[in-house]
Amino acid sequence: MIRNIRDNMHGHYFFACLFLLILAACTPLIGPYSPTAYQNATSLKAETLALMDKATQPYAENEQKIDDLNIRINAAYEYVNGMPSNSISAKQWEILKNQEGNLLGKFFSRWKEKGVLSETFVKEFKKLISEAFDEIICLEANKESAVDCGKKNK
Amino acid sequence: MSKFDDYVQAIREGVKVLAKDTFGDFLKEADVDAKAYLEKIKVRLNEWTIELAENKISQDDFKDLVEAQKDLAAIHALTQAGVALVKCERFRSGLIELVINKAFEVFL
Repeated sequence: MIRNIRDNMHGHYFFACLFLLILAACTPLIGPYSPTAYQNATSLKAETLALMDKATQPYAENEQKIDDLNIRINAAYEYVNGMPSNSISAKQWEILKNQEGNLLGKFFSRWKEKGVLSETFVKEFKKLISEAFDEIICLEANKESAVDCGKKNK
Repeated sequence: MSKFDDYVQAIREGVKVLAKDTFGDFLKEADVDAKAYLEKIKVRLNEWTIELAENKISQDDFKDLVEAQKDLAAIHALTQAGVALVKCERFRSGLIELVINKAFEVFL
């Protein structure tokens, strides 16, 4: 049977094997789904939004909670960043948590600077932070199976 | 027609199905998503402008919100890129499976 196969395939067999080897040898294009990363993102979203609600109260009263949250967010980032082929998810966390950036870093620095923030500003900023977490959650969910997060985000 | 020709033909047909299953109307969906996303930003900017005019938010607040939206758009773009890569990864895995399974079907 092997001889029969060899006869039929001629030199093409070599190329087919080579093709398979190339495909199999490639590293994954993107990291695998991680239930831990998904869980971190969903629970940190809830915690972050709850803490942002308190920004109409003095910063000093919430400083410890903000520091604790930042530690947990950094831990979630480190977990994602440590996974192979996961640079896109890691970059999303980087943008979200960046102390010099325009999302969480900006919100907490404004809160610290002004002491308290207006209710309208908090409400509008929360929408953006909520969406940022949704984007991270959406990508992680899609690694497991195709999910249309767009409808929820629109 | 040799068995190898049958094999190549089977893979070609399988790839068509695999591509349709994996990518579907991906480009069309991406285009629709991009338009919807831009529309959402437009609506949001309009709301902030009204809130600014009504003194519900300050100029600093407005600037912060617009800058935050810019970073959020970057995160959104990363999601789109990531989802596209996930589809490519699924296609590649499916292709490897197809090449192996068709070989067993045709040659054994």
